[in-house]
Amino acid sequence: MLTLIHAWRNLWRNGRRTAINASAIAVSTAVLIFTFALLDGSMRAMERNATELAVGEAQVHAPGWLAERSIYQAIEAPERVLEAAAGLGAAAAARSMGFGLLSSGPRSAGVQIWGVDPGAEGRVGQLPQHLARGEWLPGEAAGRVVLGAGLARTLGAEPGAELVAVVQAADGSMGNVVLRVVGVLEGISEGMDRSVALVDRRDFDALFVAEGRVHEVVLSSQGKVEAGALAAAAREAAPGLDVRSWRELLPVMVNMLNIWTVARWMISLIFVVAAGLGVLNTMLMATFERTPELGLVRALGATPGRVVLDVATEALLLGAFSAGIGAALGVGVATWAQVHGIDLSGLGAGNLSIAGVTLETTWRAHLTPGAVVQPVIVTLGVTLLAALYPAVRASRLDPVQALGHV
Amino acid sequence: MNAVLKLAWRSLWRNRRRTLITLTSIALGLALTIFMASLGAGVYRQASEGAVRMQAGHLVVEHPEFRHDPSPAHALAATEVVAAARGLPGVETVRPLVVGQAVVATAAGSVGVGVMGVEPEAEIGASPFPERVVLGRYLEEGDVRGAVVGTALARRLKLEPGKKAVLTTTDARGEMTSELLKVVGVFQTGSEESDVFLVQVPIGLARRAWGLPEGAASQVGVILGDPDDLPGVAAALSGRVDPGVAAVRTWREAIPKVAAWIELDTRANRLLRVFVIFLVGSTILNTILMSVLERGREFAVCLALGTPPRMLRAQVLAETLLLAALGTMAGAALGAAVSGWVQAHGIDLSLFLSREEGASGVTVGGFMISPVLRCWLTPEQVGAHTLLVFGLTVGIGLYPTWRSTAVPVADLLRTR
Amino acid sequence: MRPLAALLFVLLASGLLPGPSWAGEGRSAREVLDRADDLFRGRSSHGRLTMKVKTANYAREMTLEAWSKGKDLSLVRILAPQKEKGTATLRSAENVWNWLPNVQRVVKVPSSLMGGSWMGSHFTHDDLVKQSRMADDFTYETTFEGARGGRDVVEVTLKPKPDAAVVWGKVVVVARGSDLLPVEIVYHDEDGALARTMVFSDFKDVGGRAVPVRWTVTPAGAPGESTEIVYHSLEFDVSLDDGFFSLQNLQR
Repeated sequence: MLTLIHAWRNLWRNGRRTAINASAIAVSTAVLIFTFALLDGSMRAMERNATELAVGEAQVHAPGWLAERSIYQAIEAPERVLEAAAGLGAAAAARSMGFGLLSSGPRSAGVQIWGVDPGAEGRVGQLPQHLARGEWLPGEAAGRVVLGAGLARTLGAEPGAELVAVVQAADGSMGNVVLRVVGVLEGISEGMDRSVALVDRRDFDALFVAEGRVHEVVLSSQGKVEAGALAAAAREAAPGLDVRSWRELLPVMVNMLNIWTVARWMISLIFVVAAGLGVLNTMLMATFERTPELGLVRALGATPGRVVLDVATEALLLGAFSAGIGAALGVGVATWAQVHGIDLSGLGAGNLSIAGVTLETTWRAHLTPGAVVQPVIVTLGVTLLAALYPAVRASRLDPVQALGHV
Repeated sequence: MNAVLKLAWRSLWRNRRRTLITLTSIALGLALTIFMASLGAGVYRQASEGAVRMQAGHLVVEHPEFRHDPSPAHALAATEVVAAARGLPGVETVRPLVVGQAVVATAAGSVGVGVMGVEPEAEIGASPFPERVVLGRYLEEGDVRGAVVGTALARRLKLEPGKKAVLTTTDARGEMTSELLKVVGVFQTGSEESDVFLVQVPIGLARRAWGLPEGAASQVGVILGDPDDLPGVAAALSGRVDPGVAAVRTWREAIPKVAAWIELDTRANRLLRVFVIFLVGSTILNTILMSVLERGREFAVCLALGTPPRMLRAQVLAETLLLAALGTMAGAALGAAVSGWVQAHGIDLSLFLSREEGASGVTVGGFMISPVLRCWLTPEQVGAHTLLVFGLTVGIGLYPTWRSTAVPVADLLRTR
Repeated sequence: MRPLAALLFVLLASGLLPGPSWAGEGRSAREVLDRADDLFRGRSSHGRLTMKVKTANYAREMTLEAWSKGKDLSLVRILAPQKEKGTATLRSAENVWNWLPNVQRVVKVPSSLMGGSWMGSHFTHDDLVKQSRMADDFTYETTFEGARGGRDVVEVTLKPKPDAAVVWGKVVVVARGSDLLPVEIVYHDEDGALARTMVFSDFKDVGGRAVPVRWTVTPAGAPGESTEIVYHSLEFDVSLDDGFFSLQNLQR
């Protein structure tokens, strides 16, 4: 304790030097924390994009459906899947899937028709939030349809337009119905944009004579359960069904995320080097400048070990104090960026809305304990090393030499 | 002036360690900034080049209505456009394309696909498909009914090199037409869109299927040797094309999603680079402040010995300039060397890719990108960042310059 | 799918096969094919038929009324079941429209969906429209002639010409020796595997000509599946002007 008090006093004997050191450590810590939180945030946004849009965290299908997509390959007793999901604390949405023709006057397109539960979709993902125009399905069998943006363009159909759907129903008959477009979805995936039309499951049932067939159950725990674990639990609860996590469903996306993870490490490394350099050089210089002073201490009879211990204690104290300030600052800024986000549309002259494509331009940080602890460890470690090296050197010098050291 | 510089130089090396530490701060900081900028530029360049080459090209000449209604009726007589584009400097390849929707059928079933009619010899080296053939071969000059299909489509229709398929579509006059295809190769790009839905055929066959005359094309793609030539070539080409007949568009308009993604990520990267520069600046500031602090006594001695304050200031300023010049030169050299190495050798990240089936690549907005990260280093990047860090250092150095003559001489001389 | 179309559509559209006896000399492969193709040009027909479809997932039976004129025009209307009554298909050359009384709309079948099933049967829309002379797309030769299974038959094997837009590897047509009317058409894929079989039977005398009134399609690889068409009534040379095969009349 006495050592600590002594070290603290000693630190303020040269207040300006300590202040410079402290600011170097604090700034480095704060910038590292902020950057790490931003990088984590962008990672999370990518994962969320993958899962929250249409895929969910895991999906359940009848065996073989993913390869053939036949309307007859329905999930047996889908209720047990929904119940199992509820047991796991995950939201679930049942979808019925079929193929058909949508036509609007002379224009027509072959489409995938999804029969969805409009309320449940909002609980497993963000489909309802990605409406470029119009509204989401009303939640009743009212003959309404939501189209992908590319499909809407192909059909020349905007909200309010009427389309005719013609399908081969499950009983072999030619199912047909007039649907009114209520909304247009944008920015989900190329495939969905181009070829997906969403209707209420009850409308789907009537159109396809589907008798309640369910082809896909989407599961989402909103990130509470890891996707692989969620899939494993669902697999156990629904034996005989094909259960896959989004990582198995979107291998290309997983690759993309892996690459981005590595890129993030590289950026983190650049930052660690830049921040470490700041602390290292400032601290090194400060301690080297103290060589005469340390020589004096030696001359007054302190052992080399004592000198090194003193310097280390001072460095640790300074490091802890400054890193603490830096962490508080970093956490503050990161929290602000988590709540408000950074609007990237304000940076740079180019227009971000290129030919009508809109992207989420708000960059939100995501603060994790790791994003605070790692920078603090880095700066403390560098502080200590940068102090010890010159201290050890100074302690080994002949005191007289050290005293004369400029 | 020379004398001041000499003095400054000597003074710098009087405390070698201090000088070296300051130099390291400047040099490493600049090197990091250059590396980060060139790595970002490399990634975006790869992403956009990959996407551009899977589409028509950096520039696309097409019927003005084609973008809104990509029907074969909106084709253009392309012979002159192709000739005009081929004559422009900076143009690597000119690819006339006929694109359209069709159904491909075999005895195993039928699938709706996008068809790209190409000139095989223009594709090699220009588009990624020739390199992506995993079975059989790519189209060759002289193939009349040859076709290359994606792996997923091949699986669905039980196709392999040597097998045939029937392409059916509606031609420009609304008539249904059919053409026999003979599969010569199967490609795998890793892009789901291409592997499931794309068929490439010789352009002559596509013209026949859509009832287009000889020389007609839906799009004429222009691939540039250097994407930075885009504005110049675009302007030159626009001057040679009648705007009523054909529109010249850049890849940003053709694949806005990829362009927007790249623009957005470029900005994110720019923001991060600002943080790095901030860190670098604060490091330089701290080391210089520290030096000044430690040199207070030295300045006091000089002043006490009668050095004119102006002289002292000039010397300190010269020291800063020397430090900045040396540091940024070393930094620029180091940054360029590291970036250049990564540009030449690449950092192969395919280690981190899943080996699962269907996961053969990385895509952005449906377009494949390479898993080998490469920097893209330009003299502009190096120059701009070097100037920035030089300016930053000199700006920071003004404080000690002022400070050197403002020291309380008596106080400082008394201490110690 | 052209060979099927060439024969099948002639059947579907006109509901009959050639009548003149074609015995004796000159039973060449070419003649077997031309019988089916050529003799219907410019003829018109009207008939009622039942179509029974059996698949692994459903079985259905429909009663249809059909009109045709020449090779290019035909109209088929559903009489039963009640749910689909009034639904009609109009074909003019290679275009197909459906009239959907439920929604009171005419929908043209786009080329992208021509490969899809027609009315839930084992016929695709392509089967209905892809007319061409088999002799143009295939090289052919008589591969058997004489008694087989107790009857006199001629077997013609067709192989697609190198550039013909045909998915099949081989088509075998078996015709009756007496009048060269087809009794069986067997489709093989490119590897020679059986893809589907059409059988024509119950030859009846209609207006002085023999016509098979029952024909059955059996896809390979789907045991138990089939589509069977039986004509209950059939008449030829009815007077129908081209306006009958119009979109206006389709919506009647």
